[in-house]
Parts: sequence; C-alpha cells; structure tokens
Amino acid sequence: MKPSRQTVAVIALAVLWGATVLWGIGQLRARRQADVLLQNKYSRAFYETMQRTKNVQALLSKGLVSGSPDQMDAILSDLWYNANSAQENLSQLPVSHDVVARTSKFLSQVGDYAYTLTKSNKTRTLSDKDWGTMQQLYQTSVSLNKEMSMVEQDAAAGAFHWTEVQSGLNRQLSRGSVGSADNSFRKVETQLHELPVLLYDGPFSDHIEQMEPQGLTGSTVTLDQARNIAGDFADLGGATVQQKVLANEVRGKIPSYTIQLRTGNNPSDATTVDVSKKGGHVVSMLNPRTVSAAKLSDDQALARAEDFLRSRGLTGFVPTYTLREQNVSTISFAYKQGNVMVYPDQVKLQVALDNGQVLGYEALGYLTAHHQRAIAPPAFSAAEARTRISPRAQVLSERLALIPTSSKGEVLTYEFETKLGDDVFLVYINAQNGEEEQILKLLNLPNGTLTI
Amino acid sequence: MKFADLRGRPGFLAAWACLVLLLAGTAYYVFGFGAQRPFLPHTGPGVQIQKMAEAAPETNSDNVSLLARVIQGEAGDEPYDGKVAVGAVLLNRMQSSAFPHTLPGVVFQPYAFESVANGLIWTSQPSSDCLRAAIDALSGWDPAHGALYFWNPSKSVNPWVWTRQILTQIGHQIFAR
Repeated sequence: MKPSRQTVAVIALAVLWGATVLWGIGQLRARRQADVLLQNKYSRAFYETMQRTKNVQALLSKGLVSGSPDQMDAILSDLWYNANSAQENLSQLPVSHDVVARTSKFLSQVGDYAYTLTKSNKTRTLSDKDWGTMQQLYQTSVSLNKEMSMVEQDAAAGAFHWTEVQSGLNRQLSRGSVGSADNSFRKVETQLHELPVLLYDGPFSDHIEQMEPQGLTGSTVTLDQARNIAGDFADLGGATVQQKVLANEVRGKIPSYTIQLRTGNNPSDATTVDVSKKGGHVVSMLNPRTVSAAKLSDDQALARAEDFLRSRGLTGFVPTYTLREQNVSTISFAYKQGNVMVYPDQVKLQVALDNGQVLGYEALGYLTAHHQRAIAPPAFSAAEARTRISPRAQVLSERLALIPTSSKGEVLTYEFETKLGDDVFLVYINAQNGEEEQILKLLNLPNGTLTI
Repeated sequence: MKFADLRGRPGFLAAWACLVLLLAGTAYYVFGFGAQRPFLPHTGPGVQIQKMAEAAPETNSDNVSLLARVIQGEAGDEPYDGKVAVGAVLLNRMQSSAFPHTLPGVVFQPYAFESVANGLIWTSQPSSDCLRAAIDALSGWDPAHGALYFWNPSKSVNPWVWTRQILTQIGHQIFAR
C-alpha cells in the first residue's frame, strides 16, 4: 500500500521535530559544560585570591616578629610570591577594573616592597623605618582581609554566580551600572581608600608617579613657535608642508602641542610632531608612510640618523642598539657625559631603509631624565671590577655606564660585554662598591646590532 | 485519532519552516561556531623583535603579534599614531601597580578590551600597519604620554573613566591616566 501524503508529512515533521529536540539538548549540555568550566576557572581565581591575601597578612605579621635573618629571608620571598599571586588572580576576576584597582595596587606594592628588601637588606634584619612600613602594610592587610571575608561570605551565600556576573557585565559594560560581585568588591575598595603612601626602592614605589621631568630647559613657547619648531625638525623627504595643524594639546608629564604636518591629502601624508610647551623640545615624531623594499645598509642608516641628530643640534649621543624591522631601522642613542654612557638619557630614531628618510624620533625618556650630572669618580678601577665577573665568561669590552635602577634611581657601573658559549651578556658591576648590579642577555641578533 | 489536515497550504508551510530552521540551525552549528574557533596562536608574518632581555619580569620577544592583534581590534580604523598610542597604553599598564604586570595578563583581563571580550582580535591577521605600530610601541614610542585608559567618547562607557585625568585625544579616542 502506498502511504498517503498525510502520513509522509506527519512522519517528516516528527523526524524534524525529534532532530531539533536532540540538537537542542546537545546544545544545552554543551552550554552547561562550558558554564561549569568557566565557573570553575573563575572560582579558582577567586579562592586563590582569598587564600593568598590571607597568606600576605600572616607573612607580614611574621615579618614583624621575626628576629632571625635566615627566617626573614624566607618570609620576604614568600611574601613576594604570595602577594604577586594574589594580584595576578585578582586581575583575572570578571569584575570592573575600578573596583579592584586599589586592592591590586596594594598587593603589587607589598610584593614589590618585599622583593626590594630581599635584594637590598644584606643583614636581613629590618631597620626601624622598614619595620614601620611593614607595620603599616600589616594594618592595611588586616582591614583588606576583613572586607575580603565579607566578599567570600557573599560568594558562599550564592550572591553571585561568576558566569552570570560575566554575562551581566557584558550588558552593563555599555550602560556602566554595577553587578553584584562589583558591589561586594567595591566595599573592599572603599575600605582601602587611605592606602599608605609607600616610598621605597622599587618600580611600584609611589615616588615614581610624582617624578618631574628634568630635561625641560628653556622658557615657554607659543603655538606659532611650536609649529615652526615642528616644521624645522621633521625630515619630510623633500615634500612641502601644506598645513601645520594643531591636532591636540597634551596634558601629561610633559605638556605639549601635537602638531601635524600635512604634505598631502591622505591620512598617511601627515607627520605628527609633539613639541613641549616648556622649552620647545621635540618630544616625539612619527611619520606613518609606507616604506618599500630596503636599499640601505645598517651603516648607511646609522650615518643618516647621526646626521639628523647633528643637524638638529642634538650632540653628545652615541649609538647603542639597532633593530631592523619591516624595512625600518630603529636606532637607540644614549647620551655620553665625559667617558660615561648615560643610559637613562636615551633617544630613538627610525630610518626608512628605502630612501634614508628619518621617520621617527622619540625623546620622552631623554627629556624626563636628562640633566648635567655630578658623577662621582669610581672607587673601583676597571681591572678590580673585572675580577668580580664570573671567570667562566670571556670579557669582550668594557666602559663606564650610568644605568637606571628599577626605581628610576641611577648607579655608576662598569659595563662589560661578555661571552659565554654563543651567548652575549652585558654585565654591570657597581663602580663604587663592586657589586653586580644587573645582567642583560642579548637575544638572537639576526636583525639587531649592538654597538659597543 | 484524527490529525489536522496537513495536505493544505498551512501544513506544507509548516513543514518547510521546520526544514529551513533545521538547516539554519545545522549551518549555524557547523559554520557559526567554526568562525569563532580560531583560538590558535598564529605567529605573525615573520615578525620578530630582538631586544635585550631584562632580568625580570617580561621579555617582549613574542609579544609583537599579540599586541598587534589588540591594536587592530581596538584601533584598526584609527590614524597611525592612534594605533601606536593604544599599544603604548597596554605597555604602560604593565608598569602600573593597579594592572597585571605581563602583556597577556593585561590583554586578557576580563572586560579590559572590547575586542578581546568579543573575540574580534582572533578574526583576522593583524595588518602590516598594526604590526609596525606594535613594534614602535615596544621600542618606546608613546603618543599618549603615559596613558592607562582610552575610550571612544561617542560610544557609551563606564562613567568612572571620566574621573581619570585626560591627557589627549588622538583620532576618535580619548587617552587618560
């Protein structure tokens, strides 16, 4: 018997419906699985943050009471590790940045501070000042943990489900409202409002934020003067400037005019030059034009860069490093005061390898750090310093160099270029006390040349 | 039991609708998810940056391609200095105590960047412009003078960002610290 059209249609529909249901169930399962996976991942970060923050508090209190140098050493390294881990996990939570920023800063500073102490504190017992700082940090960590345990309670009570927090945040991101986890964490942030100002010898110390640029000499320039400075400075490869547009006024550490030199109608025909308001120094220059195949050698590019600096009245610079990338050569120069390389005073230039035009100039670091320094003569001779280097390494060259410390301080060192096997290292030996300050390893160098 | 008459127009329309839905669903399953899958870290077209390795905490060698992707996602339509500035913001965050201290940490911080949150950074290879911008930022160029935040004022953003100190505007984006 031939089945009727009705039966065929019904069976077809039933099969389709069944298939759709199966597909839907599969989807639901997959979604739930993904949901649980994500939930677990965020919960891990959350509980890890909680545990590590508690550890930080415990370790700080141990540090306050410890009298043993060896024990102190272990406590400080533990503190560094736990604070870092807490900060890292905290920043993986799906909450808005503004509700964890301060907690994050506190944890960064505790870790950084502990690391600085392990490095600098040779006797491994705390000075009164350091003990006071640690006391302060301990108190902050106590109130931090008190608030954190409230968040933990909220979490335990099921007040927020990370994946919901996440999808909620997706929506809120545009509206700017807050989710439940955000609310819980916001209380922590409010509690940390009066974070102690921490001054120590590390990269996250509060003094770095407050540093004022030292290289801005001269008097204030007007906008018209700035336009002319920009026009005279830039290497436009023979093109004539049609317009010198004030694109922006920068209100940063170095207040500047951003001048755009337009040589055509395309967006890439605009070279941007930042000129500082004080002194009219060029802070940076960028020419975005496309560079065709390289024709210049590294030496030719270097000669072009040196010519450029000289013609702009920037003298006393020595090239330190060249990087060849995308037909552009980026060359770093450091200032040389007497016979000392001053690494904090760095400018960088970019030379197009198709025609030798200087496309870029960067002096933010130079203008921040540069001043005539009173460099005390070294207490160690180069020969004495050389004995401090591992006898396994072969010394290729040496010179005096002022290098920046992690907290933007400066130390006078001997820079030794050394070789161990196929690897090249720059070893810096403190010229006043003979200590090894820093080791830099030069990475694979096919496109880069170190000038020393 | 009597079925409704399925031989008429409504019955066939319903059958066709089911079929179309099923096909569409299958297509979405097969292709839709396929498009979101490429989480494989492609290495950029031959880009490597050679730099002196700092002792800690981060070397920049493998970061060019990741940085370029974020630049493309966040500032693909912006002028060149706007692209470099976005790259510089990410690097400035690494130096700030309030942010993660590694580039992947900064890039993948939940909701830090829209193009990372919605997967846009994985949809295409970064353009040569974005790669060059990433290299410039890693070499130290910072057109935004130390900014930690940027946003497009024509889009709605968390009102909190307006409490930050605005440093400059490049293209369509405001840069702040």
